[in-house]
Amino acid sequence: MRIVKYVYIVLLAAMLVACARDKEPAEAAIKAAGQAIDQIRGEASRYAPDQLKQLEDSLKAAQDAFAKKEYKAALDAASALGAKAQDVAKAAAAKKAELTKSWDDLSAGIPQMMDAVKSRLDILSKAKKLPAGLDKDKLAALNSGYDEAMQQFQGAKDAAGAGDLSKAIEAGQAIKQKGTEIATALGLTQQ
Amino acid sequence: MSESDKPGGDSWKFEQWHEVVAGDTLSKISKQYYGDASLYMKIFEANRNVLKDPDVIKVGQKLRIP
Repeated sequence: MRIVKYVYIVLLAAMLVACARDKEPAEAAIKAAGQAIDQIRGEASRYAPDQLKQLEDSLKAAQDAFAKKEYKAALDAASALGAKAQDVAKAAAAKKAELTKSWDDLSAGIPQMMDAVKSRLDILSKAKKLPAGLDKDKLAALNSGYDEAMQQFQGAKDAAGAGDLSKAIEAGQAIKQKGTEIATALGLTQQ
Repeated sequence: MSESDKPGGDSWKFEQWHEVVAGDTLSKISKQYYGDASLYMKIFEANRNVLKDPDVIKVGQKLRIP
């Protein structure tokens, strides 16, 4: 009976030693994972927010395990986060490149379209009579629409300048829609 | 083409063209598109690459209406 008791004590001690052995590596892995996530947070929060949230949840799980002295589980959870953070950084960079291209296309194209609209509006504003299908009120509404679209374009450029490409693109798409409607009403067609 | 280019397709170029028919003059074309014949020089200036004289246009010529 006494031997069995000693065996239990030895086994328990061995388990405690094994657990404690993982404590420092787990602590280091959690610290490294936190630093890796901090490094990518800026771009990831803007361009890959869902993936960043998953990373942060995983880090929190590792921290919780560490707090419960489940060092092995904490070490396993935290060890993979550095590589995952790099994957999220790559995804954010790819999304940023995609959005940048979309905005570049819009910001170059909108002035081209709106210049054609403005040219026609300026000519019609000098006309003593207006062509069939267009009256003074309709022309005034088209002029207002043009002014409004250009104000929105300035807002979109400001958003892009502040780094909010999604907002800039959303506004740019609305401006293109509006500009297309005005151009069509003026008899201009897309080539 | 990305989704951001929609609606309206690839091109950002919006124009209007007129093909000259017998009896056309720039004034008549100006009246048709602008409602005012006196604005014919706007059409002439936009087509200086194909027109040398505002009084001389040829049937079949394609003129850009600015």
